[in-house]
Amino acid sequence: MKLPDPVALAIPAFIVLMIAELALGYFRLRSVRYELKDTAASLIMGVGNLATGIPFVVLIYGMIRALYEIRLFDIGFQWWAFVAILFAQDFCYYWFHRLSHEHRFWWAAHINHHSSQHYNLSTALRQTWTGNIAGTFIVYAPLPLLGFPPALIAFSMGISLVYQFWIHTEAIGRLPAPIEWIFNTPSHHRVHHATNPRYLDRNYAGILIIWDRMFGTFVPEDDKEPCRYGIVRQIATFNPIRIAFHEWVDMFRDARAAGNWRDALGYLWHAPGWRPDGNGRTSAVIRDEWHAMATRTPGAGT
Amino acid sequence: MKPTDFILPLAGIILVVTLVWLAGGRRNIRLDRTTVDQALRAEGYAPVTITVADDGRAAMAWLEDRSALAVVRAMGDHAAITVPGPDDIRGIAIDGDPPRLQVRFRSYGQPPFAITLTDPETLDRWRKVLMLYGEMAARKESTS
Repeated sequence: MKLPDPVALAIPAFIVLMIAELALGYFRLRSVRYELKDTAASLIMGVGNLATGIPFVVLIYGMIRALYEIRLFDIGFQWWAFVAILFAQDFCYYWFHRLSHEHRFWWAAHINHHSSQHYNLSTALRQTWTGNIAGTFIVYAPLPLLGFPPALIAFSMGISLVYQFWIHTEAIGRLPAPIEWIFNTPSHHRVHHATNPRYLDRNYAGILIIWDRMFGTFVPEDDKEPCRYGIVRQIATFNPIRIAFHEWVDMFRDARAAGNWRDALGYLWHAPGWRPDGNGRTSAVIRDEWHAMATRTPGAGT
Repeated sequence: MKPTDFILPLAGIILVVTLVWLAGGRRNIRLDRTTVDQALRAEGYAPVTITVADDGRAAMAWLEDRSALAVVRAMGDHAAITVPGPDDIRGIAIDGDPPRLQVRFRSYGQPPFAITLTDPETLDRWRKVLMLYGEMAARKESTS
């Protein structure tokens, strides 16, 4: 069965929606901020993501195909397979995304998506150039093994990517409670992109926020604490090359300077900010410090 | 994927970037003491000394609560704050007329930071602070 490529179909909509969001900000109908160099950097990252993906298409599709050959079940393209893949793919996405934040080797590939201090639809397109090299697709290996056809997997991944475009905006406040409870929304994803200590490394969801609620990583947006976007150590550049590779360069520099293999591998495996001397400032440490301060002085955390 | 598949995204980029430019997206923040102080406090820092470049493109601050240095750059319409640890600094230099203090970092995500200061006393003070800051890293290394 031949399924369409949702991303290719959605590109015109991406462009129209960015222009609409820009217009909302320009006419002061919503709090939207676009900045020239930031937007250009994000969009170049998006095209770079498409270009760097080309050499890996055959390789990754071949691996999925090989796993599909030893599948446990024959799911095929029945109607319920389209529903089941939505949940199964989104579950895998949650773990892919969580691992991408909690282990520096994968964070090096994902950090560029968080590197903008702005939060608008163009930020959604600030995508990785190195995700395929980092092997993040491994997380999706259970899908072909379970028996989901490769074409269906590719289709569901495209749907997930398209879904996540519209949640990168400040133009939409909160949606009705049932939607906020089940789905990943602009409000939940603003939290994910924020550097405020209480929001760090939270809300990993792709389409469904239920995974964060289940695994204890959900934090709601607090109106008293507006999101500050970017990364803990903001990068001071709009250069797409630096945006794409800076964490790789820094990570391997740290590993090379480590005194032994154990520490060198620790720099790759442990959370971003980890140091062998125990003085590293990981997200967990920063969150704990914030919690301690907020407990000592109520109101200080906001 | 065919090469023609890139035409639409590229045309889209050009269109969006042009519209952002026309809509005033070339805003550049001009740093002053108030904006730098506000930006640092929003991130939870408590600056005690702030020096802003004459051109309003860069600033430096000393954070008493952390005994740390902060460098602030105008990045489009945002102030980008870096709080480098002593071992994050690779070198400092002074050049040019009016004199410019340059700081190079180890991180690839941090291009060299430059701040133009016409007041020689302020320049010298920050140079000394940076040198002492760098020595903290050397001391830490020798004791570990």
